[in-house]
Amino acid sequence: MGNLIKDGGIVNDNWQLIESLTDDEALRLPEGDLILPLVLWVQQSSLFEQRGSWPGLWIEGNQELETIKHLIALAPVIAVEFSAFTDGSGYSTGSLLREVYGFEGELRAFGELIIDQVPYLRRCGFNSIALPDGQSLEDGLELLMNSGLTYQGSVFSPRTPFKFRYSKVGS
Amino acid sequence: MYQYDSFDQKIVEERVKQFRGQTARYLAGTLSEEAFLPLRLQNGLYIQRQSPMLRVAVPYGMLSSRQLRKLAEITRTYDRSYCHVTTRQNIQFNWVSVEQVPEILKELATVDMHSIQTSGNCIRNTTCDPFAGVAQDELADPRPFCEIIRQWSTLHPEFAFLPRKFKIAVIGAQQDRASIQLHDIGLQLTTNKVGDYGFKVWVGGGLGRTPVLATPVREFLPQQELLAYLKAILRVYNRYGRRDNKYKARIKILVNTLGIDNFSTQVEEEFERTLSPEYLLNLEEVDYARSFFSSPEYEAIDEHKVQADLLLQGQLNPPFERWLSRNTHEHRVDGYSIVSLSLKSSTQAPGDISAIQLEQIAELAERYSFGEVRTTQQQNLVLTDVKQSDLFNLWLEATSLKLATPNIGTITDIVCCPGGDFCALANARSLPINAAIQQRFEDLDFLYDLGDMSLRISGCVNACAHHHIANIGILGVDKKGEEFYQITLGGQSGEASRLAKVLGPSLPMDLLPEAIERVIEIYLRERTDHTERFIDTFLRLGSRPFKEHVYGKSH
Ligand code: SF4
Repeated sequence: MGNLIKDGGIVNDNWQLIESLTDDEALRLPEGDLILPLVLWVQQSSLFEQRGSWPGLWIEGNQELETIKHLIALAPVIAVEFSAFTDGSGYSTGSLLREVYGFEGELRAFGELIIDQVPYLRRCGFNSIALPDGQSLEDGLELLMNSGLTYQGSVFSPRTPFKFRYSKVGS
Repeated sequence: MYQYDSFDQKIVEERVKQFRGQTARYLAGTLSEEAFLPLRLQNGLYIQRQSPMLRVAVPYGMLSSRQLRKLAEITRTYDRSYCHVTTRQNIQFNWVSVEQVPEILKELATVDMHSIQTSGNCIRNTTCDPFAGVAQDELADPRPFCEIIRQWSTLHPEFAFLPRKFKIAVIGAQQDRASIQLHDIGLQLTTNKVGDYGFKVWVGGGLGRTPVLATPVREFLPQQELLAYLKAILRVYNRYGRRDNKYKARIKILVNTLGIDNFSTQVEEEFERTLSPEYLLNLEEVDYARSFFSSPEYEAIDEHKVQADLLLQGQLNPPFERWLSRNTHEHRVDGYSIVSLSLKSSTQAPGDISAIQLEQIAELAERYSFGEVRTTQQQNLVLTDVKQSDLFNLWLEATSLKLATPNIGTITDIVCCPGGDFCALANARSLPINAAIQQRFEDLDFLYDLGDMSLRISGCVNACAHHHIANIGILGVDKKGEEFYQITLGGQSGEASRLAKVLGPSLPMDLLPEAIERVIEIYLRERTDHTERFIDTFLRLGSRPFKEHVYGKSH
């Protein structure tokens, strides 16, 4: 994917996003760290089992999670694709992966995103964000670094709006 | 009234800064039109037929005199010295320029106001009973919860790009003056057997192309669990709501497709599995929110004496008496009244309000009602705490400001969208229809005799004026490029909410006022006496006699 924003910095990405495999590749998988779409991931799982290392998992923003629970536990990276920047289903999917499925690996957002969404993505649990061409990673990172106060916190430390602001009434 | 603390202030200022940056990127060409669109919508900025329009949030309809004055100032500096009250209690500026919007937002931020999430596919401004806190039939004040929801939904990271817009309304009274069943989520404060506060929750209401009344999804939700439950509903919607078709994207369609039982099961499951203590409100924070809405210092008033005075003043001044009966409402405290200032008259578009009026209302509010006013879904304003001994003077002043038309809840209290004169989506104009009907029913004695009635005009199927829930609804349609109007009858809002039905073929503009008059003729002919309201006569008789009289027997 080239560069991406990860954990508060811009890093070179060493995962390859594999959309499809030729027959030949399917027998002898390319070397390196791969992210595969769900269907391929499942198809190739025995190969990876032999190798002893699992590829990253590429899912759609609105992927049903309960049915892939067992894969979530294995994948080192889950990459959630945003098919349009106006399609926000991936924000809930990311939050659920962290909050309900206990996913602790790299949670990546990619697809049709714009820089203004970087802080929201982070708060929904994405710790790595790849932006499409034309969206500056530096600008995205700056927005992330300068994003200030929020009423909700993040999926890692949620809170109610007044949590730390109320003073006891009548005392 | 809620006052920003430094935290709120900071959030709004940061948002203004962010939007300034986005606007600059857009004007410089580095942010595409397509990407700017949802960003500007989330800041309330529309591009209309003739000019950009900025919609400003009025949280649950409350405005202070200070805010009114700021609005007046903004309309003078950046607009054409007037603004508009919307059917969702917000304020619109109709003639702003994109370049100046960041400046306007900065001005608004100085008086605790913003335009965040007043449009776009996100959680919109929470609406509320305009009589909250002063209504006689109120169990508990809904405004503290509205404020909590306002904060919680503001820039919520998970729900900023929903399938479609999302509206929440909260009431605490028996009578539903906020039409909660027309909202994506409706909340009514209630108590359980042991007297704890909580909410009855409705889901899936909305008008537009497919009008639907909301369905109860939870009979009792403890107040502490409010935000956790809202989150569960929104999350199910955000994951499963349709995004392929704009007209099927509201939560009402999802609820309908899944069925309420299935939908409710999914919500409850989501709620259970993510219910961690961090999402629960504690009672101290609810109390804290409540502290902003404590009652003003009411005086002890000798009610009998005031009542006697009012009676006499009414006898001497029949117009005052008429105003009292139409435009004032019972207050929970003896000796006080709730007063509606009518923004409907034959000389103005419904909901429009001039800079001068804004300033004068600010002054009236300070002198007569603790410096606060409310906006209503009927596009009027309300002074909630007027001493009855002040009513006569207030009436005199309001009359000279053209804010005392005694027509609240009558056929000329018309709710009307901007229609073809402003809105790019319109099929037909709505303002000329409003003007024509205002004129026909100008006679105040006649109006008074007609009694309770509601009339709403939408310029297209998007139904911004909520014509489906009016006793008489008018909908602009396009017939081969010409403006035609459909009449619907029998709608009702409030706890007896009911959707209207189409009366017959649509009519051209010049025939419409006559048709409305004919509908009224049947009512006058058929009502048992003047105490039978229009809607009751209609429900008793059905649409047939109305239809025959409007279209002739042959239809
Ligand atoms: S009902 Fe139609 S014409 Fe009227 S404001 Fe809404 S979108 Fe515009």
